[in-house]
Amino acid sequence: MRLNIFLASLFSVLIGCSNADYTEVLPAYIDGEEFLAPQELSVSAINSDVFGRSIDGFDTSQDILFFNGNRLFNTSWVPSPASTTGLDGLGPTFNAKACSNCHFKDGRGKPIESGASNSTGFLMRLSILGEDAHGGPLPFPGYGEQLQTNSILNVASEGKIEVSYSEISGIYDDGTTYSLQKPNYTIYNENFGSLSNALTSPRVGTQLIGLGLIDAIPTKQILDNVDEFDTNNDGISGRANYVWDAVSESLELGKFGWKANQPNLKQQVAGAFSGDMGLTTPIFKETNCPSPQNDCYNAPDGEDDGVSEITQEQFDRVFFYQTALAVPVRRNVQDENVLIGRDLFTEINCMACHQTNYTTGKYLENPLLENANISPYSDFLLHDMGPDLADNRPDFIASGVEWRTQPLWGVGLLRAVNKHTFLLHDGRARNVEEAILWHGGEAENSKNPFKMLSKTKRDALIAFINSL
Amino acid sequence: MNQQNPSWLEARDYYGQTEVFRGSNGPVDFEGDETWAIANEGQLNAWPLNEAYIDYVSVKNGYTGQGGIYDNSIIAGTDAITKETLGNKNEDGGNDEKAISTGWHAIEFLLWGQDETNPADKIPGQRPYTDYVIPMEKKNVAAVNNHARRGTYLKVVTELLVDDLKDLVDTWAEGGAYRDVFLALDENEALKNIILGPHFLASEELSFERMLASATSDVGIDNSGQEDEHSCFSDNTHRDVYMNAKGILNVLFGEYEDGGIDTGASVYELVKQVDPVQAAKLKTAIDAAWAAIVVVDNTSKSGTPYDLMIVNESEQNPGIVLAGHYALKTLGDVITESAQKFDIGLE
Repeated sequence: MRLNIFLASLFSVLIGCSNADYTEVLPAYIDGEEFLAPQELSVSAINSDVFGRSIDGFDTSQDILFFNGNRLFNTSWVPSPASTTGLDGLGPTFNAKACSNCHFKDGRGKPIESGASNSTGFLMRLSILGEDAHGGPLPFPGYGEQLQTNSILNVASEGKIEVSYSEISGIYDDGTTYSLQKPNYTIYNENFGSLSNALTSPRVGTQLIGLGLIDAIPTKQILDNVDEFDTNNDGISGRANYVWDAVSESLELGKFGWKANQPNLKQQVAGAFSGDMGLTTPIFKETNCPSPQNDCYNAPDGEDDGVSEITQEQFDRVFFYQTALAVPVRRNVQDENVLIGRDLFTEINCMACHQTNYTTGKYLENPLLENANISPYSDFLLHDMGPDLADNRPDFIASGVEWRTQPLWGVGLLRAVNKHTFLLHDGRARNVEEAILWHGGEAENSKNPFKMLSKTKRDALIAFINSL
Repeated sequence: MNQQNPSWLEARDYYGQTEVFRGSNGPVDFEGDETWAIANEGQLNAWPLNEAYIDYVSVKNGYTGQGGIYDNSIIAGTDAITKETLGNKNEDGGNDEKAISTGWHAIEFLLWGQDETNPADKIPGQRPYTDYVIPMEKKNVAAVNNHARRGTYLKVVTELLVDDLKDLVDTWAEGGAYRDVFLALDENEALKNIILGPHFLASEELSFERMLASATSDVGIDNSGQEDEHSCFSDNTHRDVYMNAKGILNVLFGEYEDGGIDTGASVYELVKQVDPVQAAKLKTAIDAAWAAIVVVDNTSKSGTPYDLMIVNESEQNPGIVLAGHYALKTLGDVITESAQKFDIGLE
């Protein structure tokens, strides 16, 4: 009798434990998790204009600032002399004529493609070994800190860039193969001497949502995540970059840029006007013509009576516009695979660098952004990402292998806005999966577990990232 | 020059009313691959434009300063002036949205020339006829050259404009490609498209781009914002604004005036059937916006050209242009509300 009961119960247990009945407990949707910023600072849409929408709550003045800033952002600047005297002063050397060329629809620029000599969205930083007076990159003699590949009539551009890609293949633990493309850049037609021993760093323009919110994150909240000597032994050692603030004339925490080399949004914008478009601003008043670029230096400028080419009013408008682009609401947040991916993101420790949950502080430049709880998915700190991703060009405290954690909010909408999904500092990753596989250095601690996941789980993680 | 100008002005009054069909998934600007998507709005009416792309510009410091002529233009060049080349040059292959070589404002520039005078002088551009014809008594004409090419350019670019307009007329006419597509649309989708046009003008293009921007701009001589009026060479912007607003009324009230007044089914009547209170609100908003625009048109006709209006106005010193902007913006919001009564979201 006992043996029969035992066998019967064993049999029923075995049937009861068949695959059809046994399921994992699904992670639960958390109410409101689709908001990465307060609702009035967010936008809910999935069309190509989603990065260009303003936050709510403007008064009339702010309406005017935002609207005019948007127009200026999309304006193609013209060389001097021109009858449109308020919109001239382009160059004489430049990378793009309009902000929107590299940040099309306030989105992400494209890398240079094989065989092309140019790209809408790409530029190359330069320097020579050593540091300037403030500890920053030392400009390359004759060229400065960036290669301007375009110029106005009768002025020589600095040079041209081309790229070739070689494939790196790899294999997941489950046997699936993958392939990454490694770029190899060549600078040619150098007009002011050879750049063969220059330190270079290829960069693409990033999406511009939520920048005011980032600007408004109090320094302390960022420094709280610093762990330079990995005292908690999790393999992650984020460091702060301290960079030159041209206005306060002191070293301040760097937050903006691929290596966190700009201390605040105003300087980021002014730096872009100067380096990328050759336009002087109230912050950077000198035309960007390093000696011996005489034609550049002697070309007419767009300054009217000593006022910078971008007037204070124009700068204020573009700057305000850049503070006020709304953060897209996440999509597909209740999908099973997105929920599973969300938990995997924490399990394999992506969250260690791609951090969430800040509260913005006082922000005079745009008070609508104050006291907001936000989740940009970045700690804004420098991390060693390994030799394969290294640019080998130090930038203040950032070493040649370090990069600032890229905020992931909006990353899933690049396809809708910019019709591409090129990621990482120079767009070498063709999609999220490749971007993960490029993670090295400190990030091996997350990449390796990723490679060990089943395909279903890898896809779930990618689906989560694309929901951001 | 006086012969051609009235024709341009008269034709613009008709064109202005058609701009209400922009932004409504229609043939003039739809960006899809469909064969009926002519998408020639940029070739027809792009603005602002970089005058130096088309023809010589005089570059002065201020209104009265001396200056030189700068000429690195298409007219000064050697490219053949044909409809095809001018069309291809428009926007420089998509690289420069101000490199405009075709359309209404290119023609306007060729007829009037730059408006370099102080708006308080109340005159538009003053291009001399000698830009086109060397007078018998003058053998040495000063800096301006290329008379023949300029004349050819004007002729060719006008022919191109007529071709582009005809393409749109034909596609909407009986038997036209888009007419068939439109009539076959699901009713709600067609209704949405109909409402999108007035919404686009009231919330965006007319209210912001053509009115707010011009009143709060700082472009041009003396950073006064004079450059920024839509028809800056002819100072005809009051008519652009008036006729754009008329287009909004045409669609919302189902009317068209050309000699007599044609009437038909209207958005307003439809809203009234569904929600009379909302319809009353809509009519109030339309009437208020129209009244504000009429003030702008009348003020210009009685001697204050548009560029003088906008130069005097600013955020700190709002006037009738900004008032028009606000009235239109409010109308845009009420249109969105009204569309919601049909469960149509305009985003």
